[in-house]
Amino acid sequence: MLEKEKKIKKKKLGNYPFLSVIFSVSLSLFLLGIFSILLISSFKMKETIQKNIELNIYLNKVVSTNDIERINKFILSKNYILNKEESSVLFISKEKAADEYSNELGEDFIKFLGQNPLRDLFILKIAPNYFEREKLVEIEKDLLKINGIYEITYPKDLIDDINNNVNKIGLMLIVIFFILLFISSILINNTIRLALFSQRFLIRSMQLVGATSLFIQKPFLIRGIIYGIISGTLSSIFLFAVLKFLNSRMVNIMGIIDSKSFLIISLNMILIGILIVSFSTYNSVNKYLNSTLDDLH
Amino acid sequence: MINDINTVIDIKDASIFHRYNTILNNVNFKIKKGEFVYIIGKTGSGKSSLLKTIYGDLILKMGSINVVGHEMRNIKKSKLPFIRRKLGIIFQDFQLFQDRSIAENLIFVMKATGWKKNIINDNVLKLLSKVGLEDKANRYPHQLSGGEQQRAVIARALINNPIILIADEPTGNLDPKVSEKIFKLFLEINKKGTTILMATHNYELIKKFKNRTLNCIEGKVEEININNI
Repeated sequence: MLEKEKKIKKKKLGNYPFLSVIFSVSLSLFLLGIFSILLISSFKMKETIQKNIELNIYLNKVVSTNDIERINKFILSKNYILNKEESSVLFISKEKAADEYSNELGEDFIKFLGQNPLRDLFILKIAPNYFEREKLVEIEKDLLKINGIYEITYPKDLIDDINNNVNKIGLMLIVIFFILLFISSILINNTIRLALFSQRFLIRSMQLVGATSLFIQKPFLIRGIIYGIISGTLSSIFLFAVLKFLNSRMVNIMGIIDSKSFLIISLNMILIGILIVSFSTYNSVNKYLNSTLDDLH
Repeated sequence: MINDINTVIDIKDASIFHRYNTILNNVNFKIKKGEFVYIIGKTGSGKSSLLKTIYGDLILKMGSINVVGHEMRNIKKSKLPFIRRKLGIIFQDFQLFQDRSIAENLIFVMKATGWKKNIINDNVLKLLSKVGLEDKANRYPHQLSGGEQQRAVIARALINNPIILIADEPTGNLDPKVSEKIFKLFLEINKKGTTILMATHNYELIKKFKNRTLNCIEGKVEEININNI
């Protein structure tokens, strides 16, 4: 009999029902993780497009090899090219362009026209931070100062569209992310408050015998931090599994979200988990610490 | 500050509130070190609210209550635990943790009030022997009678050598025989120097063990002669 009695489960201070808390926190963090991935994907997409936008620099009809070399050096010295390597600046001579064009058309158009109407061309890749219409206009002006450059073309409307739309989508995702964070915080707060309800008399008894608030809060906060870490880790694992699944079935998501980005998202999820759970726990314990006996019943 | 170092509780022009209702008005009395004071009155007359205000569970909004050298008006929440360690609080419904043995109930409080591990066990037995429960240390509350549970609560209240024991209807749930034993235990503790403030309506025992008596009646606290009840 006594043996049996000894098995009564002790209500340890700070040990509130953890399953519901971990479940709801993990779920909220998972949703936040999904939104983080969407957010990062939209910015990565913008960056990828930015990196592939090209400026076409057409040269005068008659330019010497020296002039071409001079223009090439000038362009390579500029900060606005994607990187200071040859790969960012591509030169296509008018003869090569004509060859390619003839191949595409299937007939020699130079013979037909009697001369090569095409011009020598530099194709330039621009650094992402210059990816704005105003800055590109500045670049255009800068380049046109050079002797030997005839014209510069680039997809102006596409640049405006990408800038506007990606920014709008990004802003929308950020707003949704914060709304979601707010809703998650409220839900987690309520879950923890309910879970802590069973501990209210334990908290009160400790108060009445002279335990300090910090002494009472400490075990709850330690638990909160542990639950935050567990929930953050669980939601990261789940998110990774979902990404793997999507990657194998649909698109190359893992190509967009590299391991570094995923690690940052995971660490943030764990951090947000710790912060929300600790803050909610602190709030709930304080609520019971500030309640009178009548309020507790 | 209390001028007289022998005064444990000094109440001046205090009004006792419960939520937004005034329960007691213009309360004035002093309790000296070593005194045994009863507070009597009908249910709802304000006995418990007065005690709760004394130990800081209800806020004192008007007047002054000085408890063991601390003014309770506008007291900081952070100071309350240290005042409560100088008080022992005893409830009618015991408020023992049902999932812990009697010894563990005491150990829990000792840990909560900063006792060092190496002296806890010795002191638990000493405290339990003071209230005659040394052989019941490993029993759970539900395995004890009402009187024994109240003894355990008294042992718990004595943990930090309180200057005053505040008991709110400690015999309210007990039969007359057990009640008398609990009264005797309080008298014994009082004889050793601990001040006792007890709310009760056990008039039979009050008359048997005569002490100073305060009566909560019609929103006031009056000193009365026990023989006139």
